[in-house]
Amino acid sequence: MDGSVIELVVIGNELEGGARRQPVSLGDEITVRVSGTSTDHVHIHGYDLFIDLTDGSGELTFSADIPGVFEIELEGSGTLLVQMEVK
Amino acid sequence: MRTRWAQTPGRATAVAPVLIGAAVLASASEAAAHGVGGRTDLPIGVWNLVWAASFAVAVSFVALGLFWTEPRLRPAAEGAALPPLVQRIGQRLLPPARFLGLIGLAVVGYAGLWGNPNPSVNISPIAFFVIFWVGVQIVSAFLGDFWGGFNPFPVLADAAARLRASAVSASPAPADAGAGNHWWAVAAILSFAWLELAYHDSDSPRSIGAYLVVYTLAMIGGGFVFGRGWGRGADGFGVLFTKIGAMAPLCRDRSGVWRRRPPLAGLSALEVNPGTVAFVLAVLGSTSFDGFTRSSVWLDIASNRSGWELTAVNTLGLVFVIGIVMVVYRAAIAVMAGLTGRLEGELARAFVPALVPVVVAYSVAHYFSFLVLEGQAVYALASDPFGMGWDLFGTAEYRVNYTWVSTSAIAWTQTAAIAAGHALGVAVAHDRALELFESHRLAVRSQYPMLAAMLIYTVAGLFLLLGT
Repeated sequence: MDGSVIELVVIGNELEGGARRQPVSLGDEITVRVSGTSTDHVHIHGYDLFIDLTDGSGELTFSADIPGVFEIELEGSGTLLVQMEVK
Repeated sequence: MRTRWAQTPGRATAVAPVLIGAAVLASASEAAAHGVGGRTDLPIGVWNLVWAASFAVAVSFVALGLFWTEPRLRPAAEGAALPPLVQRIGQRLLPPARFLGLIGLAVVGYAGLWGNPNPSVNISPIAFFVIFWVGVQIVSAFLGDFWGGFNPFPVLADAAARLRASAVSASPAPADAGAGNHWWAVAAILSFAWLELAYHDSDSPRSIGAYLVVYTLAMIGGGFVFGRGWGRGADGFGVLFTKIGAMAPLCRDRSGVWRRRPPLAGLSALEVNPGTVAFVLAVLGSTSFDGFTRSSVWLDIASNRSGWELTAVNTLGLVFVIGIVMVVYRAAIAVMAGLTGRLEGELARAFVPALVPVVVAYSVAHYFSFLVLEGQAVYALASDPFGMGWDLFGTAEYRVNYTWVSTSAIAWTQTAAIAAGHALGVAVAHDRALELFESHRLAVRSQYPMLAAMLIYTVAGLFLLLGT
């Protein structure tokens, strides 16, 4: 099984480099890895997965088995981080 | 709660025969359109789809001009009464429906205010934004204004009016004062659009609970001040569902008799009051803005904005998109007024029924997958509406099955909805024109600007849907 990593650096409520569109392949193992200073939760919409950021970092691996475009969002502040495109 | 995800089909759907054209084009283009830049792997581009849909709308325009020479909707609007058995069953169902509506409002409101604050385990976001807002719209287009039987808001407004009449004031507010004014409904629907699409914390059950409290209090207060009948014209949700329900083949007339009639016929008798034009355009603009927020343009605008700053940016975007939708319609009407020598205001009201199928088309296209997939969550949430760990009906463990509807089926539905919605809009406008203008020639001539507006909506609607 192939895999890819979505690296996110979140300082305060802001994502370094700004929000982006990221394509991943359907069926891949996706790791979302967050570092920085935020203590918010990262919400992967559609898949409805959450990453609690303790001390600014957290990590989650899941299988990208639903095709579509899904927002990854900093739940508390509402900051859009990534439009993850699964195809 | 903007739609935070959209399902897109894989490229396998692009292999179907050309005859099935539009839908196939849709699926292919959609997969392409969401790409970061490369769509070299796809045989068909987004423009092909736009051409196909525009062609469908234009062809219906020509066919209407040739073959539809007499007004047909108004004569059919009255319809025929359904059998007595249906009347009896319907009459029996009304009181429990009204009771269920009030219970539903109480449950969702309670869940919002005091249930688990995590939106995933609280019933209020799915119940309010998906089942209620999207579900009732789409079902109304087919079953008519069934929501009128459940709707708790006019019931509460009228109760307040009666309370004032009997207990507080010797001179009650006159019945139906302000009942025909839809400007209240415009305010109501814009407040909802703002909550759903602009407010940064709209997913939160607390936001939904607070909104429902304010909305309910406004309806009660309005009923108290303006008297009986006000609620039905001011409740933005009810007004929208009633307008959409007019295109359905089922209706209930003023004397409470259930009738059947040809689809769309009811639109010819649509109640158009002060504010109705702005109301329908505001709904259309709101849905368009939701599509716009999934585009890459919006990605850059919203990037790294959060909290009230995000809300402010969203609000500006919402107002901007609604403004564009309004300008397109008013421009078409202005040209039509020039062509026919009629007043703009009269024409703007006369042709607003033609926008109703477009409203439904946009809703189906944008929210269909949301409804059938996210909507499933309500099955589990019904067992544990407040997120307390209950399992009332043994369904709490149910998980959304994303394979229920294939991505190609979603694309089919979306494209068919956009093409059909605009073609039906053109048809309704054509029929209105035949009724309004003396000659068939003038009627057809008057519809060129309307066709242009419909084509602009089609193209813009598809681009928003495809997220380019």
